[in-house]
Amino acid sequence: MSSQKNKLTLGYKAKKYKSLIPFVIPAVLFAVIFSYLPMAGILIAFKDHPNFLRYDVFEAFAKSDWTLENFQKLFSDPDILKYIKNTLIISVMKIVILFPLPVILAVMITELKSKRFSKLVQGIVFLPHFFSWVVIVGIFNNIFGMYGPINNIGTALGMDPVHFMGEPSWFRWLVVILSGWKEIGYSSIAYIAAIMSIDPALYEAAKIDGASKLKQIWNITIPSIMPTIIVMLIIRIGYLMDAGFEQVYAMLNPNTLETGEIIGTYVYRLGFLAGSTDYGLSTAVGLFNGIISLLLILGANYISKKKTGNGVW
Amino acid sequence: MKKLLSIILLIAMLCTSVLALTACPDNGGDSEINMDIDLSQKIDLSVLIPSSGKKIEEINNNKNALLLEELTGYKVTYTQLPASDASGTLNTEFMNKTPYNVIKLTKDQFSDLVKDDLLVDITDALAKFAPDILANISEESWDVVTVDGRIYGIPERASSDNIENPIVFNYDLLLKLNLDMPETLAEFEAVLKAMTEYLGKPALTFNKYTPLVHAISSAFGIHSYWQEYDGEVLFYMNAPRYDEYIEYMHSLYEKGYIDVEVSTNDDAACVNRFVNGFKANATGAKAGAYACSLWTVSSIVTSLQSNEVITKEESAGELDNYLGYVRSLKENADDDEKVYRSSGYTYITAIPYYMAENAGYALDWMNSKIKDTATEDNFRQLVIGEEGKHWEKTSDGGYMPINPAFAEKDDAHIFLNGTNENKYTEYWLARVRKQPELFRAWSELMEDADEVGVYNIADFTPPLADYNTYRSSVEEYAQTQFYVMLKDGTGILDNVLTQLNGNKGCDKATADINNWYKNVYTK
Repeated sequence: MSSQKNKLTLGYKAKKYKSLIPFVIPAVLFAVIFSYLPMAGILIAFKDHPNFLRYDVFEAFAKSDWTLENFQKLFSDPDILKYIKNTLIISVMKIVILFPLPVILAVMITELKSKRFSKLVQGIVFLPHFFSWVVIVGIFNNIFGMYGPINNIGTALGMDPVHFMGEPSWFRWLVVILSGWKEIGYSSIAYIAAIMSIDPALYEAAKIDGASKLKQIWNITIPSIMPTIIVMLIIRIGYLMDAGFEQVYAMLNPNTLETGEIIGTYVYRLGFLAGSTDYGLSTAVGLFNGIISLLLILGANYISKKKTGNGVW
Repeated sequence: MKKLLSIILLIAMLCTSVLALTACPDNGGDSEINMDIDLSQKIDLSVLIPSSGKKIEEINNNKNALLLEELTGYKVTYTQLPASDASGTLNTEFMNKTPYNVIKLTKDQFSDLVKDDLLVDITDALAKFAPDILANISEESWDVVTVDGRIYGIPERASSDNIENPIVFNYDLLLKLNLDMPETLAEFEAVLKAMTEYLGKPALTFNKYTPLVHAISSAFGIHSYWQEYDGEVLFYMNAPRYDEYIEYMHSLYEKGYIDVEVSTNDDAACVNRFVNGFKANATGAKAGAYACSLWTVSSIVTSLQSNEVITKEESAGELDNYLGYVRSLKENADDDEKVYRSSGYTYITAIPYYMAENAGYALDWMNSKIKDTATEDNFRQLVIGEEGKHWEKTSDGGYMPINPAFAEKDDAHIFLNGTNENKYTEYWLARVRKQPELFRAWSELMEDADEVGVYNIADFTPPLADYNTYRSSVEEYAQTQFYVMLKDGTGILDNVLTQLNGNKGCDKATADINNWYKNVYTK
């Protein structure tokens, strides 16, 4: 990889980096088997109810007719726009509100003087990442319940109790709060690693020049980890159409469908829930989702390259 | 050295990937039943059952399982589906062709699988291997599993056609407030008002799966999910007076009489609230009335006891000072009473197409379980056990369980595959008698059941293509929209109905079910 910008032929490169090739093979195979080969399944979106349960994949595929019905259904569903909107709003809220937090946390953790305390804090904030969403939503159902601590404090202060989990206007905020609580610690790992690798000489020089702590952070730490931040942001934007299926699915209830149903949960409902086997429609929605994600990530990379010169490729 | 290492690595990777790609199960197997098997050479059977709520080791070592092995001579290994998303898992099992000789399905799962041509046609094999099953299951029941004149499963008729969706009241509180059990909507509202004021919390609770509170909807002429209105079968949301029902529920909600958390409540939460209503010093959620299933009464009694509202001795008797049941409310006191009566087919047992070869053994096994004659009473032994050990005759000819020995029969229903319809209802009552309060509730709710009961027409349908395709989306949509309208009122009802009958497919399901209904019932 490195900084060589000259146009080398593939053959020449292959020869030069020959010894590295075996190390790349597992990753390539993984991508081929689990990401590229399954893409053939996209064709299901253009098939009329193939019977996968009775026949093997290829036979079922051959037996069913080609159709565009799934896409007609998809685009004639008035709710689908609402779900796309919900997905984007929740995703954007998550990025805007939550994306900067791990960076701040990482800076704070690395600035701690006591190494033991720093390790302790890291451990505590990582921990929620390892809980499943179902468990976390269960805990927060109680905390935000009608008779939970939040409402108890509220009523003690003279406010009316609110059924937070069943209130459409609160739903997206709760998604962001829970998601933040669970993932901030874990997301900060990459930044902590990046900060650790900054050359200490830079800080010493700055100290000699009389730069304050804040100045050091602003002028050394942040610019040094900027490439990491940008790569993380581009990756994050690639997931824009995925607003966190598992979390939202665990949190949804009839009252919050209006503001909370996202593409992921909708696809699940269509394709799998209650024995439904509408794989065609489900795949069509997934494909549509994928195309939007692809456009988003291409766009983000393009802008980033233009503005900062950093990009994923 | 480096070169050698990379070559070895490369080869290793290639081998793994080739292995991964070729390790798919081989497909094949025909769907012909072998009619010339030797039944004296019994094979081991593998059976897939619905989630039992118990660990599978407990099922496999259950006394009833061991009893069956002794009675039938077949060694059986049971596997169960998960409680949540069972149908999804079932589909995966079919994709993997997991070798189950017998699968016990819900009626909806059965219909879905038949539609996809996944079950064995057992019409001819039944006559050869299972004469007792044929003899002890009614014509009406066989219709449910028949598609184009061919039989694809063994129906398990519901144990008893119960009226089982009451509102349970805290009768103790009613007495304290000097109130009678409500009969009309107006009285009901007055009771809720008084209870709500007393408790300081909304008095009525129910869980997140209750889009139709049967006791209340009955006042608006809506009794079951699919019911006939002036010659036309309609889904409850399309019923003529559905808007009035929603309007009424919404008004109760607005006035603060309905638990705000109904859309997220599970049964445990509801029972907890209801039992808290008995305790003067309890904090948190409380309720005085609970729209539940009859079968929740057992957990209510257990919870009342564990919360020391009643003593252990009291819990072993009737609790007519604590609990009161209303099965239906009326609009006016002199209206005729009608109420939903459950029925239909709890389970249907079928054989996967790829296991057809050995279907004879499976049918023979099930046939043996259903036998109930003077000489061979396998069915009775399974369901209620032995006379003198598990039960004794009552003076009115019923079966009175002997505790605690009868407790081992609690799980017997898990092991049924089709029932001896001539005997089952009679035996089954022993299970209700086991807990006196449950039996009191059941008897009270079942009074004049034949006159007041209204069935769900969909309980009796054979697999119908359009109905089965759209049923789950229709029901799920109706359920979620109920909770939305409960809170926000009927403003969106027109929109909801357009969606329901258009996109969600209720119009197609309705046409399908009417088509069948008119053919069958106009004959």
